[in-house]
Amino acid sequence: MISNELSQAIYNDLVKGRTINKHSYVVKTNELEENPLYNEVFINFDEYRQLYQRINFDLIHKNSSFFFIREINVGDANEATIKIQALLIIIGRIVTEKGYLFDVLTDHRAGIGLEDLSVAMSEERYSDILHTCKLCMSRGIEEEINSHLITRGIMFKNSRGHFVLSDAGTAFFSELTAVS
Amino acid sequence: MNVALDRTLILLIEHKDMMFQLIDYMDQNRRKDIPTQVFINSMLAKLDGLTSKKEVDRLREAFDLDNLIKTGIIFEANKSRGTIALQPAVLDIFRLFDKERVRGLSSADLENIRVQLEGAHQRLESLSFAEDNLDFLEQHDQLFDLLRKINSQIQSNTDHLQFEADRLSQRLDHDQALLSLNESRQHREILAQVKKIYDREIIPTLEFLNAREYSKTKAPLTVIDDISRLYDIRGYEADSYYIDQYKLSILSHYKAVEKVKQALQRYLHQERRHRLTYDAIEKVYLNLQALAQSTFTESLKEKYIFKSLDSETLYFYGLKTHAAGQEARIEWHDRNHMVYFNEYLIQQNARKRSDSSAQIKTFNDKQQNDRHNAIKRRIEQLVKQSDIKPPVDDLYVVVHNLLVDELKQDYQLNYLLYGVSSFKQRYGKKFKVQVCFNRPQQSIRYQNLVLEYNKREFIL
Repeated sequence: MISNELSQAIYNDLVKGRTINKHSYVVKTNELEENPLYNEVFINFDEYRQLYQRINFDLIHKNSSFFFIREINVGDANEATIKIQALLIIIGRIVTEKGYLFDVLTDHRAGIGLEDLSVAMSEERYSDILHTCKLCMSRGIEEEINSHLITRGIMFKNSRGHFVLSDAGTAFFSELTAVS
Repeated sequence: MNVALDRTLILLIEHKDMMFQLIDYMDQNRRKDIPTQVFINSMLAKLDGLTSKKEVDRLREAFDLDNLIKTGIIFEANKSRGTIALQPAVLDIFRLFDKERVRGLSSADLENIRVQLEGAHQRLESLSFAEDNLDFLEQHDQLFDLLRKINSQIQSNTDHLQFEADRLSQRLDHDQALLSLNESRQHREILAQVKKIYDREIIPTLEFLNAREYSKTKAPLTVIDDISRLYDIRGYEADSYYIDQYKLSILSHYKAVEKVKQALQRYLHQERRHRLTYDAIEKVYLNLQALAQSTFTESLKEKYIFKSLDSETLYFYGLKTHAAGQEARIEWHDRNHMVYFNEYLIQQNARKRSDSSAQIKTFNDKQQNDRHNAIKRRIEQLVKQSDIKPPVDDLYVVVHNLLVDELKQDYQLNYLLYGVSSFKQRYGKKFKVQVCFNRPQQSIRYQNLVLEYNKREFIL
């Protein structure tokens, strides 16, 4: 049975282009906990799918770890998704190229600091790519990450102020590895 | 002065840290020799650390290069290359002092042992086994020396592998590894070491110790079996028995090495996962880079890569683009907001009058001191307080005189338009303003500026 209260919160998130992750991060305890919104959609998936189909959206469940909505008959690749993908690839590359464990990005206690990212992203090879994706043109990297990854629930900031991949962000890299 | 071999060895053992440094240098640089300068530097560092002059002199004489060459501790000194090589037997003694420095057997070492065993087998096969055959007796002694050596080497190799597995596991199981980037980098380097030991030492050792697996070349333990059988056939049952015992002793290390292999396997899975992730990220990164670079050659209009990317390849394809992805937020700075709000209204009213398209007003945390707005506020007040009443022949002249009198040096001719506009706004509904289109137009000159206008009569 759909909960009205949760359903409204879910709609509020999905319609703003946010993902609903299996786990949500609690800054106070520095721990991950189960996301009631995810559980709500997961349990009543068929009903929610039908609900969103009626308003022209596909409810997508990816990697058994997060939900998002996609407009039915969406046109060409939109800028936002390319920006998200480019940012994730470059963040992942910085971590692996510098010889850090990739788990740094996925462990909620760890994460990568803004300073480390800013220094690396200021290199020409990365800034060229970012500019061709219309990123970091007038805004700093923190703003771009906040705007494209944090607000959409693809990354979060932990209690140390470090950027960490959420379930949605982790799923992106899992699929990359699986495809390879 | 020469120092005897035994005295020199005793001194080296007493100061074994220096030898450990040299062994570490060789292991780290995968060398069998060391540059003479490295040896001299470590010796000088050692001597510097001593306080007793007598001890310094004693060591200086013992560790002198010429003395070490004469005693045979250095068995090769290459002056043209500037390197020296220490006697392997001496190095092995020092390795025994510290498990960490016990050397493992590489696949090349193991292959060398196999070749030696095969050679011994072939030679023995071609000989007649007789007590008076000197060739046989020589080969017999050599065979048992070889078996003893192999047994000891395999034992050291097992110790080395067990020690390495323990050492690496302890470092990898350190829970805080992820919490700092540097430690995570070290963690990854250790995983690479695990992989190297696994591939280059553990697997070759297990293959060496596996007598059942078929391969192109005979397994070393099978060769030992063949030699044992040969002794048995030729009537040397006792020797055959001893050879079998050596084989069993060597084989007994299989289980220990297998355990080390299993202990390291979970780290190998970790290492493999990291490698796969690394490869996958590298692949998509290079693809993204190629796409970005290809845009540089196209026209400026196409300088973004959006058209080049196939939408189906995007993981978050179709994710809703919504401006409300960002939350609206008001920054409420600590100041007198009434002043700013009034100022905002003045601007909005001015816009309404000119019918210009509205702009979004933004507030920031900087003080706004627009002098013109302050004057405009004064003009509004003056118009409100003025006693101008109809009929007035020329509204511009009257308002001009009022503003000149009141504003004094602040007055500029362009404020007149604002004054007349305010006047019309305030009294326009109550009284009538009539425009006269006479030629030439009226003009007012003030401080090098001239305003030409159509006269406005203010009537009842």
